[in-house]
Amino acid sequence: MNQNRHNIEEHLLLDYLLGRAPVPEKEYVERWLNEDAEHRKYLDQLEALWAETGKLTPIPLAVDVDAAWKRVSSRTASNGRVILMRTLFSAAALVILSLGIWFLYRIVNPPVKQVELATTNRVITDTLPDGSAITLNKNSSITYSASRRSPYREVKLHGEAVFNVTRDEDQPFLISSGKAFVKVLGTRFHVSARPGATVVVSVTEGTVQFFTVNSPPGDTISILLGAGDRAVLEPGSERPEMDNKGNPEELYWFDRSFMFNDTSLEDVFKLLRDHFGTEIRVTEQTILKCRLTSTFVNEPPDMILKIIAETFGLSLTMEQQIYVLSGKGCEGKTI
Amino acid sequence: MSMDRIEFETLFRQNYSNLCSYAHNFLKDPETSEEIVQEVMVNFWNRRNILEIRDSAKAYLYRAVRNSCMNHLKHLKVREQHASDARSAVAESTIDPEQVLIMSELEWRIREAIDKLPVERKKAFCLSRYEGLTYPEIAERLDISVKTVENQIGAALKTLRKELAEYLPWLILFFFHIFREQ
Repeated sequence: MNQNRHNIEEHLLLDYLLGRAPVPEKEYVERWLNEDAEHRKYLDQLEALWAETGKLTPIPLAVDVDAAWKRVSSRTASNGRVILMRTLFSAAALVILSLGIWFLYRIVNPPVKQVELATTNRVITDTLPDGSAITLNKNSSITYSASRRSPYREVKLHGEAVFNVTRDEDQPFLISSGKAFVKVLGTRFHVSARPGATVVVSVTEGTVQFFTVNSPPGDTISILLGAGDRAVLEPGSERPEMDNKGNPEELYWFDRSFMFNDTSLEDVFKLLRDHFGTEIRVTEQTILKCRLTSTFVNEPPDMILKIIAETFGLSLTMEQQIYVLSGKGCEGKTI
Repeated sequence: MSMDRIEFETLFRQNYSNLCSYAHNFLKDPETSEEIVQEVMVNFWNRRNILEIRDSAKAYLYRAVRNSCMNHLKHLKVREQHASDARSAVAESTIDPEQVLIMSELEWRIREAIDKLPVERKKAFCLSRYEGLTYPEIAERLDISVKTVENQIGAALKTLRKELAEYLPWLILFFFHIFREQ
């Protein structure tokens, strides 16, 4: 592929195209053009590019979007503390009680670093005192507490979060939610623990021990999860179980990702319709049987469909706002 | 309408550049254009729960930017007392916001590719393409050497050609080599 091997400075080609190259430059370009048909093609493309960019109305303005966003972001910074306050006030009794106990405790015990985070309508990301990063989904809360003497860095979780935990072998990170516990050395993983719902733990990096404590007899049932593993604890159950199949849109709130694991295209298209309103038609019903294993992060639906088309050798067209996929489908074929 | 911060940032990043171009078309002033667009975005966020937006957020933003520009021009008119000049400037550049939103995919991709260039490179390219400045003139405007300008323009062309390669080939068939015959 000759993409970067044209061996001529593009600004010379531009001067040539605009008729402002002095004679020696002009001759140099012409010699280069005659060397290879690819060179002429390259020049043609620059010519087309120059022409097409000139057609834009209104003309583009060279703006620094990142800097502008920083400014707008700080002007619209809403106060996370406000949400924290509201949540605290609504649990006033509990807080007062905890404070009372805490005061007594403090007298006898060394200071504990305690942090509370809560969300209602937003997803927030924050850093815990030990340097761990946490992203909380909507309607979730955590309480972090650790002191120099405590055996663990403890987190109580209600709801859903993604953790990126700093490694500390002397003081492992322990997350609890009801009867489910997750013990961590230092890794990246996701926990969903909403009351009455299935608890889900999925690990991106590192190792995590997912366990329950049976009261009585007080023994633990645990499984070890490594990178790429996922396990669930069903509402009535005492035993965490591996379940690598998972839910494709489980982490959509975190990074707009879809994780397809042997998912039928029929289900994939349903998901695209639910999320984006995309209408998709197929010319062969067998196309719907094809199974996709792939992860998309923050991709628009047209890009996802393009990749699906390439993956299964289909062709993708658009008719009046509806995407159409045609080609040979799959008969129990997995890719 | 309710919108969270991530959606707002996405809305901002997708539309900021084009909204500024749109404002600049009225005002012919890059700094004020950016200020006005930022102001519109800030107000939009602050009032997002009470605004009743009938069509899309995007259409609303374009209307808001146009209104702000009109107000700004009116203030300039009052300050400088050049009534007839200001009026004609407004008349010339009335681009209907609805028209602005209907953009071909090619145009959209070109704008996006230009917008993705690093800021200094984008500036050099736009000065060359849209203000027709020579390399020495650009060097003076941006306070860099001519050689750097040549490199920036070259890099911009290289990147844009690569980004838009899949949309360009068919154009060549229709393109007559106007530049070449001299």
